[in-house]
Amino acid sequence: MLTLSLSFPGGRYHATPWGRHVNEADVAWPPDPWRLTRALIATWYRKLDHQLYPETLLTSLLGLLAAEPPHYRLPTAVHSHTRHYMPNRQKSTLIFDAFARIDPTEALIVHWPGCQLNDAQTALLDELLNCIGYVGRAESWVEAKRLGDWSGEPNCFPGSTQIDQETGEIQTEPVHLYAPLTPDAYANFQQQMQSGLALRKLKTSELKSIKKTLPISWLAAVGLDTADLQNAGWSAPPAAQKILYQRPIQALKSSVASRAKPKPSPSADTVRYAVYGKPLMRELDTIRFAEHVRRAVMGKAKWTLGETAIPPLLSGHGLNTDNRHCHAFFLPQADSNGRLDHVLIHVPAGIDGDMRRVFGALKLVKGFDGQEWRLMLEHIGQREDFENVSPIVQSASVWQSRTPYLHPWHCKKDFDIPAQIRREFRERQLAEPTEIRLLPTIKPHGRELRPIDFQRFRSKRGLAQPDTRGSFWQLIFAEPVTGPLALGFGCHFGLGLFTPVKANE
Amino acid sequence: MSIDFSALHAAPRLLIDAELQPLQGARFQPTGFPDLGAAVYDGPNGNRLLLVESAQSMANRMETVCWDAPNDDWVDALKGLPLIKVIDNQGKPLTNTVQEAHRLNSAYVLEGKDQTVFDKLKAELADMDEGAVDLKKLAAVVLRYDANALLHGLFLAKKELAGGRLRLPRVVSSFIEAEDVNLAQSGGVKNDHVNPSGDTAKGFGNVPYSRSDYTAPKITAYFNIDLAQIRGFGLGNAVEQLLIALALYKIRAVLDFGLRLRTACDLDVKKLTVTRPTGWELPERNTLEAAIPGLIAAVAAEGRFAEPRVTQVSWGKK
Repeated sequence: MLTLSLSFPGGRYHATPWGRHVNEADVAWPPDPWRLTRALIATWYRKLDHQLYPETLLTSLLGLLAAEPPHYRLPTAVHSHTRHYMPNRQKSTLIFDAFARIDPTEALIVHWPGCQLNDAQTALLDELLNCIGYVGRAESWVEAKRLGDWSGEPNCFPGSTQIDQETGEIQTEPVHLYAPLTPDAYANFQQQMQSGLALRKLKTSELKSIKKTLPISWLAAVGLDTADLQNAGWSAPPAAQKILYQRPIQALKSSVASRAKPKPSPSADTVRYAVYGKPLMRELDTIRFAEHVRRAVMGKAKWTLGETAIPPLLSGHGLNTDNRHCHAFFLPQADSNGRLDHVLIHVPAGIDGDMRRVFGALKLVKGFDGQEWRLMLEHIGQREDFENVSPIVQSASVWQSRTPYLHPWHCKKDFDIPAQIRREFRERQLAEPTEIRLLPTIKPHGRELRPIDFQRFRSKRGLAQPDTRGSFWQLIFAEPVTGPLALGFGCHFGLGLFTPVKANE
Repeated sequence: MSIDFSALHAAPRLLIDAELQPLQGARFQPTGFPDLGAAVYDGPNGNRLLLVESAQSMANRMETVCWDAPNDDWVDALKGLPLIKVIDNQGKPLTNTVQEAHRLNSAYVLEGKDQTVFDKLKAELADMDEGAVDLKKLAAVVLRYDANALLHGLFLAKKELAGGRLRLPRVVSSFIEAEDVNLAQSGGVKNDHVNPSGDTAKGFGNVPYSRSDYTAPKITAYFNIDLAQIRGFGLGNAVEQLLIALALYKIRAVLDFGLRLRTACDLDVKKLTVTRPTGWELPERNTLEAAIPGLIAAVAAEGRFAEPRVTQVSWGKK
C-alpha cells in the first residue's frame, strides 16, 4: 500500500487535459497518473543528485507506480478561470487561464492499494516528493508527502459508472485519465510499432520524427517532450494508456460567482400566524387545533425538505432525552370571543434555515372533516417581538392557567400536583414558583369555565395519560419569568398554557 | 554583512504570506480589462475570491523594483549583476533583459540584426541539439548573461537553440488574492462647463462613467521560492546564496515600495508570515542590501559572470 498526499499552498491547480486546447479552459482533474509520473521525472531530472539516486532506481520506482492505477480522494474543487490579453504588439490574443480553486489546507490523496516499495525506492520517492515544486503548470504550487498510514475512503477510482440500486440515480461522473503503460507493455508496443513502421512507406523525415518518439527506454518514452509527440502526429502519447475513472458528480464544481451571497438571517425562535376560516375553532378545542397545525407543519416539512429531512426540533422525534422540551410548541391563541384566530409556534432551541422555509411555505391547515383554515404568516422572530400581541410571551411574576393543566406523572404520596409542577420547573432549569394556588374555574371571556369544559385528550391513541380531568392553577414567582409557560401533558399542543396576570387583575 | 542561510539548506521551498490592506480607505482596484472586468471566482467553501495580481504581473513587478530607470542601471544593491542592454541605432538605451517581459528571449535581443547574443548562446549551447537538455549547463549560461532570468524562468523559444527545448522554470513565483470580496460600485461625470454637449469623441462634453472597486476583509500576497530548484542548478554555494538573497530582496522590495499596483490600488503590509520553513525569519531589506554586493563579488570571483557584466546589443530590424 502506498499513499501520497498533495496539498496546494497557493490554493490553485492549473493543468490542461491532454488533447485539449488551453483556451477551452478545461482542467485535468484529478491530476492524471501520467502527469504525476512526469512531474516526478522532471523533479529527478532537475533537482536530484543522479549519483545518489540513479536512473535505474527511478525507473524501478515509476514502473511499480505504473503497474497499478491509483485511487484518489479528491478535495472540494471549484472550476474557475481568469482571462488576459497576451502583450503582443501586433495582435492582442485573449487567453483563458483555467484552474481548480482548492482549499490550501485540504489534501488530494493518491492511493495505490497494492503497491509495495523497497527501502531504496521509498527513499527516492520521499526525496522526489520533498523537492517537487509544482504539478501541472508552474502556478500549481504543490507540497507532497508520503503518508505512512491512510485509512480514508477513495472517491475517485477506475471502473464503470456507479448507479444507486434503489433509486436508479447515477452517482459518479466518468473521466478519462492518462496513465503510463507498464515498462513491459511499452516494450511490446514499441516492438510492434517498430516492425509496423518498417512495413510502411514513409518519408525519411517523417520516419525519423516518429522513431524519435519511440525510444527503447521506457523512462525516455514517458519523459518525451509534448512538442515532439505532437510533431510526430501522435494524438495521445504512445507510452500512455487511457483509463476510465469515476469521480464524484460535481467533483469539479463550476464557478458560481454570479450567485448572490445569502444574507445571514437574524436568529429566531418564534413564528406567529393569523388564522382565517369559518368557523374558527373554539379555545375549548385548543388541543385539537394545535394537532391540526402540527400535522400541517409536518406535511409541509416533508414536502419542502424531504421525508427523511424533517427537523427533529419540529417533529419532536429523535431528540436526546435531555432536550425534550426544546422542540416546537404549537400554541393557538383565542380572540375576545374565545375563537382561535392566531397560532404561535415557539421553538426554544431556535429556528434554522430549513425551518424558516417550512414556516414560510405554510399556508393552510386542514381538519379531519374537510374543514380548512388559511394561515397568514405575520412574522418570524424572537419571542420578545410578539410581546404586544401575545401576552403569553411577556414577562410577569404571576401566571395563571389559560388551558387546563394535566399532570404528567401519577400522583403519589408526597408527589401531588404542586410537587409535579415544581419538578417540571426544575427539569426545565427554570426558577420554581414561590406559591402555587389551585383555581377551581377561570373566566377568560366573561364565561366561567371548568377544566372539564376543555378538550383534554390527544387524538393519537395509546398515550399514557395519568390525569384525565385537568386543573387550573395560579403560579407566583419571586422574580418575573418570561413565557410561554406550557406545562404538563399535551403542553406542546396548547394544554397547560399559562398567561400573565396583571397587577390590577 | 552576511546572512545565515543554514536553516534553508535542506528546505525544499520557502513560502511567505504577506497580509495586505489598502493604504487608505477600504477599496482597491484589482487587475482587469475594460471588456472583461476583474477576475472573480469562487473558492471551495463558497466565498468569492478575486485575483488582485497574477503570477506573471508579480514577476514583472519584482523585476521593476530592481531597476533604477533614470540611471538605466540596477539599483545600488544589485550593481554588478550581469544583464543584456539593448541600444538603438543612435546608441541610446532602448531596453534591457530586466525590463523585457521575455528576458533573455526578448525579440530585441535575439531577433535583431545584431546577432551577438544569439551567436554566443548558439555556440555555448551547441551540444544540446540532440538528446536531453543539460539544465545545469543551461543555468550556467543564463547566469553568465542574465542572472535575473534564473529566478523568473526562461523559455528560449527558437528552434535554432536546441529545437526550442531550452526552458527554465520559475524559481520565484507570487500572486495576490483577495478573499470574500464585495463590489464597490461608483461613478461620476467628467464635466465640460464650456460646452456640456460637445463631441465626446474629441474630448469635449460631459462624460458619465462608472467604476468598480472591491473591498475585502483579507488580501494576501503569496510568495514561493523553489529552493530545491536553486540547488538543482548545481552552480555552487556562492550562486545559491546569491540567488536566494536576490529572491528575498525582490520580495522585500516589492512589499516595501512596489505595492502601488494601480492608481486606485495602493496596498500596505499588515503582517508577514514565513509559512515554510516555519520559524525562519525573513531578513530586512537593509540587511539584504548590505549582503548582496558581497555575494555578487563572490560569484564574480568564481568567474561565472560574463565580463564585462553588461552585454550590449544594438537593435535594428533584420
